[in-house]
Amino acid sequence: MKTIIIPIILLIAAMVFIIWSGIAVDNSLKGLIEQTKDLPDTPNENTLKLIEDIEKHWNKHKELYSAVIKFDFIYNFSKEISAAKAGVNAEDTGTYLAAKKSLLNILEYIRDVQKLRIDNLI
Amino acid sequence: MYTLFFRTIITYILLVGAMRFMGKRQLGELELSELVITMLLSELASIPIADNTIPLTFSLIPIIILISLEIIISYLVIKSRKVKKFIGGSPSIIISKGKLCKKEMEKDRLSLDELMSQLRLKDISDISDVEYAILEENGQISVIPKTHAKTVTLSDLNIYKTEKGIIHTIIADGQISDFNLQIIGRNRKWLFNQLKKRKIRLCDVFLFSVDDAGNVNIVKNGETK
Repeated sequence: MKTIIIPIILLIAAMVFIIWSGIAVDNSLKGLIEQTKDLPDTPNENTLKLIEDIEKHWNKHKELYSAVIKFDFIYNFSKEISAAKAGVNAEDTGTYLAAKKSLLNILEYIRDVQKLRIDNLI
Repeated sequence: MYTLFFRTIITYILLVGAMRFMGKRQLGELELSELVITMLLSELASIPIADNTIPLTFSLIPIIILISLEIIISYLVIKSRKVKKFIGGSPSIIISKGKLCKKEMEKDRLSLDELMSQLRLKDISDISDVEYAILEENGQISVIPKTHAKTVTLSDLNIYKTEKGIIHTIIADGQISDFNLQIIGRNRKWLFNQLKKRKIRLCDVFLFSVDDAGNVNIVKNGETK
């Protein structure tokens, strides 16, 4: 009996990790998507601060994201944040809007994948 | 690059640990489920090493799940004959009481050539010398020859010898094994007395072994090439 206790605990731990990480990423991304959607279409004096808040939120949960999503998305997100900031600084609305759209696309894609993972599991 | 370095180390440690955790059975002949697990483990372990954009958890979690399943299944196989039959199959009798079972051979897709080859590997050239041939779960064929084809043993010749048992290595390459000394119920004092009796220094001993009957065999450094 003792032999199978450890594997059963490991199986449960793996399952808990999958569900917990999925839910945690989903919750974290929900807020991030709202923040990104709140970015104005025309950059103003507050936009840079809003972008930095999004970056802070992202960096705070980066370890969690790194555990469950491909690193390509993490690199791309950082790249788009830099592009959005550059757009605001250069007062280039086109670059800023394109970066904002990409940020939203990346976040929504990651969230959809996580949701799908949890939906398929339960 | 350091990511690759640490990932490889972590994966290696996990895999070696996994194989140890799965037990000694895994290292020998593989059963069907063990073969599947081994193939999957090697494939899974290589994913995060080959592609460092993939999180390590993508491989660690499936490896943990597979190992856990393997241990649980091994346990169930020991506890239940039905599970054992379902997971590992059951042995097939290919030759029974000297007669070939063609149906069993067809069922196991075993050709006559393969059977003959396996028999030759067991030093049997004539199929009529076989009383039973059993195709085991691991794919090996066990052969029980007919009485006239069996190898003569000492008991057939009424020769009785004392059991030598296994050989315990006490000194290997000049290193004393206290564990093996303990197994044979001796200590270092006895060992040094043995060496003294034979006028041999410890540094000159390449191999010192003792069998269960107490016979000592010594190979000196000068006797090795």
